[in-house]
Amino acid sequence: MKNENQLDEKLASDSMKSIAKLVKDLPEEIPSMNWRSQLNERILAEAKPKPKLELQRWLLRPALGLGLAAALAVAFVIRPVASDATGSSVESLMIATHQDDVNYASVTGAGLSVSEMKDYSSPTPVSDPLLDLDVF
Amino acid sequence: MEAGAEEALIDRCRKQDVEAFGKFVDAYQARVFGFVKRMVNNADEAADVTQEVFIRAYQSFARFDGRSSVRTWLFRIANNLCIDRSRQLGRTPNSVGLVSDFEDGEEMDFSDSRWQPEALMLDAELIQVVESGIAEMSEKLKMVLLLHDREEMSYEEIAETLSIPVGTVKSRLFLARAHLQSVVKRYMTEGGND
Repeated sequence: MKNENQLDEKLASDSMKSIAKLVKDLPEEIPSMNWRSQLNERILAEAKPKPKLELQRWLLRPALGLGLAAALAVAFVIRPVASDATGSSVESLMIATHQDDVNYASVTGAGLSVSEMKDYSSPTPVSDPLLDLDVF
Repeated sequence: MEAGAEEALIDRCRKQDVEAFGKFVDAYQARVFGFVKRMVNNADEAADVTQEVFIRAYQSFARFDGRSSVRTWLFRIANNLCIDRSRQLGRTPNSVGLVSDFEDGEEMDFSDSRWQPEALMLDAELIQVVESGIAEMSEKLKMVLLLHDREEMSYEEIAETLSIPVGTVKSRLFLARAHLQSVVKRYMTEGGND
């Protein structure tokens, strides 16, 4: 506080005041007319209403949110079934068969699959001896 | 400008009235340009920065709450833009910094008989000397000197504008004036005022 009072006294001295007056009396410089017209143009550009931009912003905000939510859903929730039916292992063949069955079922409906279908239009001889009645 | 007229003008500026803002620019352009020019030491750069000051003012006038004077608010924008520009250009501090030639506790002696401040008259040469003295200062000293001695802002207004304590404002003002005093004194003793 004492230092501040001393500072106040020094700042109020005549020599310091004369310097302040020198600074105060420095000539003022007005910017050019060209500068002013450029500024006016910029202010007018700022003042122009921008309804389209506002409308776009208004529409884009929810659209962006929805898009982001959809992308996240695809990435984390709706995962495609991982299947590797291209190999030749038993598992791969089972999966491939299952997928084929599903595909057939979707076309033909419930019932036999194509691989289970046989032609019963012409009777075939019974080869099972247990079913051969002539034996008895 | 009268207080009532200025208040009305500010109200219109808040509503983005271009014509009113033009009058506002008329009232402050020379002062802001002078401040910025001395801060950046370059007339072309000062013209660009001053335009930016008024554009920012126009954009944010609606948010001007009137807690400080419009002048304080405008010079705060100007000051911040000068600092930003200086940082962008990566300028090094000028030769006269916060720690000046005058160490703490050292008494300054201006008792030289040739130093007659009351006889100082601003001629073209002395103006140049003072301008050079201001240009040599660090930004921190310069902005306090210009805001106080040129724009006649109070210590409190400057403290608020620069976000520094009032005591710091006073000490910076003292150092800035002391530097100018030594510059002017050197000029006078070296025969500049024959």
